[in-house]
Amino acid sequence: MRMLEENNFNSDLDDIINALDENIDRSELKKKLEEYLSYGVPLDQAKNTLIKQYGGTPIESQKKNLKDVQVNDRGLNLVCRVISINPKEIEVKGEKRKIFYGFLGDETATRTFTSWKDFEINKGDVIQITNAYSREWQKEPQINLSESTDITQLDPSTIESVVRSPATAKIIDLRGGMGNVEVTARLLSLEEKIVTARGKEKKIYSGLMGDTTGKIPFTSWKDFGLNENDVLTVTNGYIKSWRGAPQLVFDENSQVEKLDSDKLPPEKIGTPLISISVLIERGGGVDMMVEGTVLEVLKSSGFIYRCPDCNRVLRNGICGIHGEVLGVPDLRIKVILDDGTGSLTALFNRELTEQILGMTLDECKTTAEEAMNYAIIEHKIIECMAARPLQVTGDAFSDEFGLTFLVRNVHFVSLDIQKEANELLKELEE
Amino acid sequence: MMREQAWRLFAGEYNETTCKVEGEGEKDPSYVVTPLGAKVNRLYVAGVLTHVEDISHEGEMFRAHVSDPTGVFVLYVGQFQPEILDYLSHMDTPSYVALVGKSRTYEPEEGTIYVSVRPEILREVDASVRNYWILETCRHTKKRIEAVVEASNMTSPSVTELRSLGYDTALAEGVISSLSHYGKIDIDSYYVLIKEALNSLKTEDIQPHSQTQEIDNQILGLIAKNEGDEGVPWEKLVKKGLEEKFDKEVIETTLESLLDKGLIYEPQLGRLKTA
Repeated sequence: MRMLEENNFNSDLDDIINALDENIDRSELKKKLEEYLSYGVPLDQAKNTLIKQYGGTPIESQKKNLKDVQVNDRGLNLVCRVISINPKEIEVKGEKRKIFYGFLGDETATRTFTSWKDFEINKGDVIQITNAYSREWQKEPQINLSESTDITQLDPSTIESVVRSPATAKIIDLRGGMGNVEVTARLLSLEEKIVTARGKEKKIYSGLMGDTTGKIPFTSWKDFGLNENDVLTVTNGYIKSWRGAPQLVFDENSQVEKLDSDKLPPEKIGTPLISISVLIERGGGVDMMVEGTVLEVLKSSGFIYRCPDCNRVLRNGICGIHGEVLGVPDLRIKVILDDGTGSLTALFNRELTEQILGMTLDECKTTAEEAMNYAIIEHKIIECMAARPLQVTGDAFSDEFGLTFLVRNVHFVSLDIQKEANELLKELEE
Repeated sequence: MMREQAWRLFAGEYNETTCKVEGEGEKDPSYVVTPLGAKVNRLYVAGVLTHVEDISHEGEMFRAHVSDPTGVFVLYVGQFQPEILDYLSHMDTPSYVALVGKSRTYEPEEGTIYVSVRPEILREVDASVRNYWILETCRHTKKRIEAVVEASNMTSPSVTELRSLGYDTALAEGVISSLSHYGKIDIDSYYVLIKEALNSLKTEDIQPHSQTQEIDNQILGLIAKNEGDEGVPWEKLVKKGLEEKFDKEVIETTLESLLDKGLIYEPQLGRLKTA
């Protein structure tokens, strides 16, 4: 930002004079410029107004290509096509506000945008944007249009073709809200479903896809003749979130290309170990693997009774919905797992709890009844798990309270500490 | 509100902290930013409980020391954590403990900050938990050093640039705050810190060695005899040791190893006391 008091506007006056044919008195020009500025007219607008007054051609001030927009740019001037625009209601300080989001494109790139004001722009419009700013979104710059942004409609032919630069992404890098993604993956499972969309029955195809970095559920709204074990490149798909976790969706606007199945053999489909921070950023995922230390065994772990009707956990023999019922005994564990980069709640079902305790449900019941204390099972769990490092695989979902990990496989991490220490020391010597 | 992760860091890094970031809103968490860019609200420590002291004399406020190979974490436990107060009052020292706690600061005067830990959970563990923690903390510290080095090499260090190198947001933000607060960071001293910690894992198997054990016990006895209430000055103890025909080098390595193991501590700098 230029500060008014520190500026003689020398370079700005040069800009104006250079844009004009005739010679203009510099001090007169300066006086007029300062008058506009004192009324709060933005500098670029004031300059162009003066140039126009003297019969010159306005400067296209610092018009940027989308490709060159960085995060946290201010005073952005762009010419773009509106690729998509959607309204969205949000709550700011308790008040409902309507904002708009979508994609902008020019000859060099496409970018997401958020508009904090209704500029009455539509899909397909070509617009001149003056004084926008950018923020970071999904590691990319995002264009923000605010109250102080000006929008001018241009002739749609100003931009002939918008570059469709698909984001070629690995599955682990996919995040809810991404559009125009290109993914190459192996189709691991497939099922057909009939759904009713806008009053019409429609056949959809869903299942699981995988690449070397992970797996993702998908839904196809069009029959692409998919088969299990196909290796595909999906172009122009988009990513939705379901319970926080990303899902790949593709439809009539997408292309599906079948590749040679050797391109991605089954043994290369992986579940690599990722950090909890990455999983949190992703919002969850299917068949994920993380490692962490059990920082806390949560109350409500151990021996429980569930409602025979709704499966809810009973409190003092009472179900929140069905009242007093004859409970069904069960085991479960809830822990806080943390790897120093992030933290999640991991849930273990009865089978895994039995495995961790080395005791069956019946044995747990007998033990608890002999001790006349169900909490004894919780204490046993704490003994087994507290402060222990675990590696877990399973599915993760998130909401405003954080990430929940439904564990499918667990093992206790045991390392040869001295060997690992020596290796790390060697690394440090290098 | 997402749960804050529990950072892994050594006392040697944590206690150097002088940077505080207050949350803006009422519910926003506060952080301290360490020289290596750990933006800490919560931390996880496994070490040796060396000292528990009732500073209120009424059982309402305890101060405790948890030692790692690089230094000592100071814990304050108040009446809002009755379980931990109770637990600590029954704990023997030394013993291995693991704890999850919140970062706390104390500013006796403008510009002076002391950091401490308010434990949320604390329990006794075995040596394997402590050793795993040391290894893990070495790895995390190394990663932070690398992030600081990367950022220092950038013409204009930014969170975005650090993230594009694969560092997660919390660390990237911490490193940027750290650079602007601490200026030049003495990277080498932190490499030394990691090496010390790793070497302490290697000496683990020497410990049962009977001769070392015996020297340990003799030196411990010497400290116990001379410590009084205030602890015995380091120099005085070395002198006493020489009188007992110990080699000066043997005395000093033994003292350092006793400190590492948490069997002795420094109530004041340069004074030694048995735990």
